[in-house]
Amino acid sequence: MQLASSLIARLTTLYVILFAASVAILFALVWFVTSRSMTAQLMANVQRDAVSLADEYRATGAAAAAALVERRLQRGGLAYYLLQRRDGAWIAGNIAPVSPVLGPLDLQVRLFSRGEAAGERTQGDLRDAIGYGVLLGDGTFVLAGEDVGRLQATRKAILTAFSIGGGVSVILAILGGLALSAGFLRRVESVNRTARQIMAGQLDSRVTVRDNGDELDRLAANLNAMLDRIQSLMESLKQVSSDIAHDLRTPLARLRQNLETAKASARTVEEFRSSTDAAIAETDSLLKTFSALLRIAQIESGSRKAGFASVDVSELFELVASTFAAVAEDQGHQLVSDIQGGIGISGDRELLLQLATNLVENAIRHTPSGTKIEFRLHKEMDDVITTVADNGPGIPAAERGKVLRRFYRLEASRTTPGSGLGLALVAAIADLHGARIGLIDHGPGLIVEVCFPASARSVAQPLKNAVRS
Amino acid sequence: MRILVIEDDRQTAQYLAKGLRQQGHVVEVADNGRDGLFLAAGEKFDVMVVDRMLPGLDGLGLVKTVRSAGVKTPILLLTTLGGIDDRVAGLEAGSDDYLVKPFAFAELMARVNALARRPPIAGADTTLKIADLEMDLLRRKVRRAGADIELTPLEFKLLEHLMRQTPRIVTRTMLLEQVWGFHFDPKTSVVETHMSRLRGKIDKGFACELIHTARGSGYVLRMPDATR
Repeated sequence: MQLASSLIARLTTLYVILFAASVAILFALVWFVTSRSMTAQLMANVQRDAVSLADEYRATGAAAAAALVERRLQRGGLAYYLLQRRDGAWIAGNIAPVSPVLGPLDLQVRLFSRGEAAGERTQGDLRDAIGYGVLLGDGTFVLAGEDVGRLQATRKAILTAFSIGGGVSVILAILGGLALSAGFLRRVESVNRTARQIMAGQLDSRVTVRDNGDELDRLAANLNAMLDRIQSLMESLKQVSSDIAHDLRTPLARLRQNLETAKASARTVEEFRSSTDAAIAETDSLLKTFSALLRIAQIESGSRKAGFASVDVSELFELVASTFAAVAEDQGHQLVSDIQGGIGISGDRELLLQLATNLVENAIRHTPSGTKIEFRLHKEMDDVITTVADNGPGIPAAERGKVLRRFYRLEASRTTPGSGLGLALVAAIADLHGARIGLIDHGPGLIVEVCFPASARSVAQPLKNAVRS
Repeated sequence: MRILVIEDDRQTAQYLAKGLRQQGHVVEVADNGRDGLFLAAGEKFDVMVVDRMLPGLDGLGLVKTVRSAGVKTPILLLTTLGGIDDRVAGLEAGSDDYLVKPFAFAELMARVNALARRPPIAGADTTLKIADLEMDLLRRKVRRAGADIELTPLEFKLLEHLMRQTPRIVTRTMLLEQVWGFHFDPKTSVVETHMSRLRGKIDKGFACELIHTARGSGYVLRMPDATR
């Protein structure tokens, strides 16, 4: 939670900084542009005023100019005028005489008046103004000025507007930042909550997906897919351990009996040896079961997929056919094979060899003497199909689905030695290769069909071609 | 033979050392990778038996280091049950053979013997001959006492393997791995079936038997007079 709140603070601060910065930049821009244009306009006004006053003086003389000044002052407004003689004596205007400066200038002025009765006097505060001075040929100085109060008032208004605007922006930024980051963090928190639930033992808990396809949604979907995979692996592990607990009890009990017999009732070395031999044989068969179980688990984990390469299954299955033709014959069976040449798939050579071996051995071991077994490999469209068919007793329809399970054994084969893992291993290998297994009634007998669909092998094609060329 | 055993489990190490000494070999034991590496690099051994899981330096790492140091002593790597990817990794690291624990001692002995006396690969060797049995590797022909014998390709491969290993014992598992490429246990009597057919062709009707069953461990092809 510490991290979450600090993340909120960081995101919100970032928002505030961004908002404040943009308001400040906007303010500076408005301030600068407004001041400049207003100043320029004022300057143009006073220059025009001063020049026209000077023209009037030249054309009609001091009295007319003074009258013009008076008229202009009558109009009101914050205008300043001054008409002074060469010696600095005041002629007309509302400011006191100054030392003449030509062109544009900044001024600080007080209102000034001169009357018959009141004499010279100044009044009011010092005020900022800009002015424009013109010096005439006879030394007379003309000055027109204007108060900058309006400019200052405008600036103040801009400042006030932006202060309020900026304040509102910052508040909005804080609220927006809080709302947005809280929304983001709620979704992160939902992932956290799921993680906590899973840690607390609710293994089927999943992250909520909103189906809007954004990054967080894709993350949630991927997390869920990962959790599904982990759960299925865990369940298969659980299954393995409970299978072991149930199905290894019998052989372990037999092992114990053998050792007990050796210890308690063996009288001769020969008897002792036969008991310990039996115990060793029992141990070996247990170890084989363990080995098969571990192998299934390893195959199911999918790690073997990394080592997939192009495999010439025709050659591989020919080897199986020639190997087991003799074995079948010795046990009174007949193994006929029909292996189409030149078929390659992407897979694990060793595991494909074991798949074929297990299927053929199953047919040999679980059928009575005299059974005919057909082992085929062929290509149908683009699918690679291998079948092992026998005309033995077959499997009842109700049990066909179960024989692929670990440790499942048909009633009839309880007495044959074996662990009940052969077909489970075949199923795991087929699954790893993306192949489907079908158990079909052969009437009488059983057909086991493994189909490697072209789609599951699509990656194999370029590889195979590369190897061949 | 001088044999170096690198194995951290004391019970297994003692079992190995005792068994190998009973067979008349000189055995050195190291119980961790570092000591093992020191011995392997410094002294001359005929075979090394290395456990895959070792404290100090992992078995695979040890094999790699020993090989990169130019030591060519044959190495048999021991590993625990079920690691189906381990075999490839072990062979890639530079070991010569691979045995999964637990194993019968006879299996280990047969493999150690096969490794120790592995003949240098002779390029010109195109015929193999034991007693009156001859194998022409180029023409894929087998003759005994001057008479041609017809063998299937599998039987030929099996016989070739036995002849190359003579007079050493070859176990059932070794044959499965090396002749068939089966790195798993078939549930039917694959080796026995083919061996009995081979015997029927090679030994039946001849004065003496060349293929013998070594009780509890495997098969051996040897001259009739060479007792043991």
